[in-house]
Amino acid sequence: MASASVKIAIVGAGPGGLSAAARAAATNTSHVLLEAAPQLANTIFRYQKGKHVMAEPGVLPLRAEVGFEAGTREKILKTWSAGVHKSGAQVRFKSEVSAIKGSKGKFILALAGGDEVRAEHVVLGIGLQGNLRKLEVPGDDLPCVQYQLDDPDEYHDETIVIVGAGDAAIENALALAANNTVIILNRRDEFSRAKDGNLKGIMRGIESGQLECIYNASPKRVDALNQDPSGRRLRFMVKTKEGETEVLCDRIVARLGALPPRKFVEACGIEFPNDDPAAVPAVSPRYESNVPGLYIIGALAGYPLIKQCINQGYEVVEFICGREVEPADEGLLRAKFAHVPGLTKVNKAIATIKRDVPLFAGLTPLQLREFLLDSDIRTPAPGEVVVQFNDYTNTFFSILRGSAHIRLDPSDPTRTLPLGQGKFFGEMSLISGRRRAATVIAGEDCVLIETPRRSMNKLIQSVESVRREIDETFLLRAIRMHIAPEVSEDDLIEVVHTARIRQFNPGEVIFKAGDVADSLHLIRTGSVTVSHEIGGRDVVIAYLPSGNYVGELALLTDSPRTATVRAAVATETIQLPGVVFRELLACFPDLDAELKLKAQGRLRETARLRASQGAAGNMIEFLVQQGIGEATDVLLIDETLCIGCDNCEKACADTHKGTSLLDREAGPSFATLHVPTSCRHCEHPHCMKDCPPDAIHRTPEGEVYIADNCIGCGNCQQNCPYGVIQMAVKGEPKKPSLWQWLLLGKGPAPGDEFHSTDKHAPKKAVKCDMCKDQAGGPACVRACPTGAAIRVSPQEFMAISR
Amino acid sequence: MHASFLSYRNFFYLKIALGLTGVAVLAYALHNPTEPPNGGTWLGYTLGTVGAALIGWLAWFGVRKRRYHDTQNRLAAWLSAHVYLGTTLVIITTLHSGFQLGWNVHSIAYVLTLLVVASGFYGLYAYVTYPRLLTANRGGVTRDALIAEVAELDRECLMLSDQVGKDAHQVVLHSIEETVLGGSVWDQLFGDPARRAAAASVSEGLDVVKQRIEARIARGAPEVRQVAEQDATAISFLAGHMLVEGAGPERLEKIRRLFDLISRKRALVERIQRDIQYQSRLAFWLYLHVPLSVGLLAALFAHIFSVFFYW
Repeated sequence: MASASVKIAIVGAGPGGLSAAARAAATNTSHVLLEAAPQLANTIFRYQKGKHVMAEPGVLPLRAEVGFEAGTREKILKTWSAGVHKSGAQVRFKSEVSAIKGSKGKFILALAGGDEVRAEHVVLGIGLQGNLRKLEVPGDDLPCVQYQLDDPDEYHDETIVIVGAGDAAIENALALAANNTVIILNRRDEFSRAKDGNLKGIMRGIESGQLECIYNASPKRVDALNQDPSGRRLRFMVKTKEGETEVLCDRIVARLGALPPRKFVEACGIEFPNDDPAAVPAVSPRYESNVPGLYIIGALAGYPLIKQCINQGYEVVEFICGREVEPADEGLLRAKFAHVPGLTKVNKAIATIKRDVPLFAGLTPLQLREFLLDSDIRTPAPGEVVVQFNDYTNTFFSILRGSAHIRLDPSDPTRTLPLGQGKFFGEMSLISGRRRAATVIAGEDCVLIETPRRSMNKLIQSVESVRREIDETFLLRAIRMHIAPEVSEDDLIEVVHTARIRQFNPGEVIFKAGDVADSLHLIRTGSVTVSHEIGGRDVVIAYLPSGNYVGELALLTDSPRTATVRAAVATETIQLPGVVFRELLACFPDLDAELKLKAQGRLRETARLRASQGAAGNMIEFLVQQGIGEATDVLLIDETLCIGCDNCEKACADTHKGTSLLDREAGPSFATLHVPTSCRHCEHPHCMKDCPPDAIHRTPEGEVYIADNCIGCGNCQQNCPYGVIQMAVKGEPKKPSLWQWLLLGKGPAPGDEFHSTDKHAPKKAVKCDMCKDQAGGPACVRACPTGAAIRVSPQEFMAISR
Repeated sequence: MHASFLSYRNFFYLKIALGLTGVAVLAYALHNPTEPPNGGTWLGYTLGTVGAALIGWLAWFGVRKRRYHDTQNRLAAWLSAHVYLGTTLVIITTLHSGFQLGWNVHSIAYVLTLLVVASGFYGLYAYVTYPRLLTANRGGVTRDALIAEVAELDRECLMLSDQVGKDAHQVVLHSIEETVLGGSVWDQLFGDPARRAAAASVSEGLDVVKQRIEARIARGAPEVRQVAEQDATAISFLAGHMLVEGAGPERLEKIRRLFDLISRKRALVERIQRDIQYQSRLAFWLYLHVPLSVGLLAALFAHIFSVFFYW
């Protein structure tokens, strides 16, 4: 048997493996890259045709001999193929490694064909996709049962069953449904694992009958049919709640994810930390496994992002050759800390953060590095305003050193609350999505970590200790700010421990009139409506956004609930038990008196509203039904003034590259108030939820806008429940001047919509930005000749319409 | 929170217009020229200059309206000023003329000014009146949706009429063919929507049926005649028709539903006709106001040119 001998054998020509091979070739290190498939990057090769591949994390520099940037699957594969070829890397395709034996310096890799490769070091970059989950029922290896889908356009007029409920399954199902009859098989009764955009897409598809879904179904058996009268090729036996049914189809596409190829990896001597099938082996900071000389990079080592894999491929070769390399993000992090005296060394800075900021003590160094990459380190001068009261910013601040001061009263700068090292602020706006609740001033020797909303939310969702700590602080501060400002933190700690965070769906009742009053609700996110029964009908008499509390009246007066409170949108409240609340009042007579005074005001207001027979209430109810409860700024048209000239739309198109971002006529009306289809700049914008390049932002003034790095994926358009985002070709037509149009009739006219003639021009998401870059406010409002169009905060509007 | 252009900034431009008019009237009253008041006195020239400047500025509205990048002042402020200051032209130009009118180029400019202002007044009336009517008439539904509903009703009527009989099918088909929305400019502006809905789309067809049925009833049984006399609606006519023909209750029910659908369609068509009418009345006056303004600019130029050329 022929056997080659190299310094490094790289197994798997994925992004990590090909990068390692290219680096080895560039440094004249003897190597071989062994790939089971007949081409490079098999996983990406098998992506759906034309799929857009991301290059996250965006800020991380690429360190490799081959290029990589976000783009289509085809473009990336071409770049890699050319890069590997140019580097002179030694690649052996169709060379599946069946076993790795031996030890450092003398590994022997057995190939499926019987060949052997001898190597001093082995780099395993085999990823997870080589080990796709199968149906695991009889017949799961029949020819028309497949576990991947390359090009959905290859199939026409077939009946195809998709098995799975994840993103891959949904994307395949939707793409195939264009030309085929598609049935999607879901083991459960919902699609909870999917991204929001895909979830909406599949639900729409099922509702419209474009495809069929069988819920609570599990595969039982697949039989090949020969000349069946139905003309179908497969009989798929499926177990459902109602019993076993048969589905006749031509093809089964099962997208069930992938598992670490554990058997093979364990046979190499590598240990896994536990029995969880999704567990990956532990590696050292130099990617070495528990077997000396055997390195693991990429998804199998727990790094699923392509850019990370490519960098690791480079780094692992450096490590093997005995060269030191800094982590790829080192330079970026060093730059972030460069201006902080005493913390210019990244490792020291990270250790300091772990030591001095308790919130981050539970993070691994890798998590902390990733988190810091997204964050800014700020050293504001003493007295500098860090956060401005009423701004719409939503970053999160942690105090690394020194102190900061929260202004308790916007009108009185002397009343402040000091925050010391290790504390944090900014969580109020982060959680509620509303304006900043207070101004924060930097103190002496202040060093702050400022983290954007998305990174912070990611951290809150993935690290339990961070979520708990932030929630508790939020509770404490919210109760102090909105209910008991004069009570000290220590006195409130017990109250906080009894408080519960409750979640309500839109329309869900928080409490009903007549209920026994056992608690008080402080609205944390979202908003609520308060309704009374007037003339046998439930009439909304008030709308309260987050920061308000409800339910105190009944507690103060010791009576049952007098009104019904419902969540206007998805809402979270902080529920304080009535007993604790009463105890608090008993201890602080001043607070008791103050709340009673406020309650009196509310009672008077309620009486007044009831007397007005709730006419305004219907208006509030209508607006709340339109989702205005989560808006921060909404376009409202008074139909008694609107002459239908569409000058608003023309102004919008003219100031936004020929695309009107509002549709005046569409949208519902109540009495004479019309809510056109136009962005409401939601508190927690739905569009921001799933933006791969993080292109959607909010300005300090509150405008939600899409930045130029939009990749045109359309997620935001699908996620917006109000249909205000469009996909449009960017770029403006050459227009004649107003005078040329007016005097010579040269078109298009000012305000005409621009439709690109280039069918293949890339489209990007566009939406109302409230003309943030223009003086004088939104163009639609400025251009309304009769004063029919206004943009207002719904809160203000509803207060006035009352 | 909405504020009409008329009450913009607490009637700011109305106050300016009243001030301007007051000053002009006062000056005219106090002015005591040696010759009879006319455009040639110092006051005449002053008023003329003010008037010409106003006309130029008022015409500029057409440009300003389309300058969407102009961030100074809202268009509503401009319209407010346009309306109030435009109205002052009636007084200023009249005083400028010194009430001396004749068959000449100068009087053409004067008359055109009055016509432009008059058409503007109509526009103002339309802007104040029709949006409210339009909104009430639409009932929160767009015109496209109303039209789609008519089409859907037509389809249902046809299906149902097929089940009723040949006569009914023809009547319904006739009504569909005769449904004309909009129509000529005159119809749009001045036609009676109710009459047009009835005449063009439904009643004519029904009348044919009615006549046929009446003839049959005349020949028919006395009890049918009695029913028909008691309840002279079209439905009972049809019912009578069916009794004569010996229709079962199922068929009668279908006829009743057909009538329901037809009356719903009639109401819808009327609403659409009204919608079209309100909208054309909202828009049409501009086809007078703008050309008249252009004409006025030309006449104004001729007026000024001739004054100075023949001085």
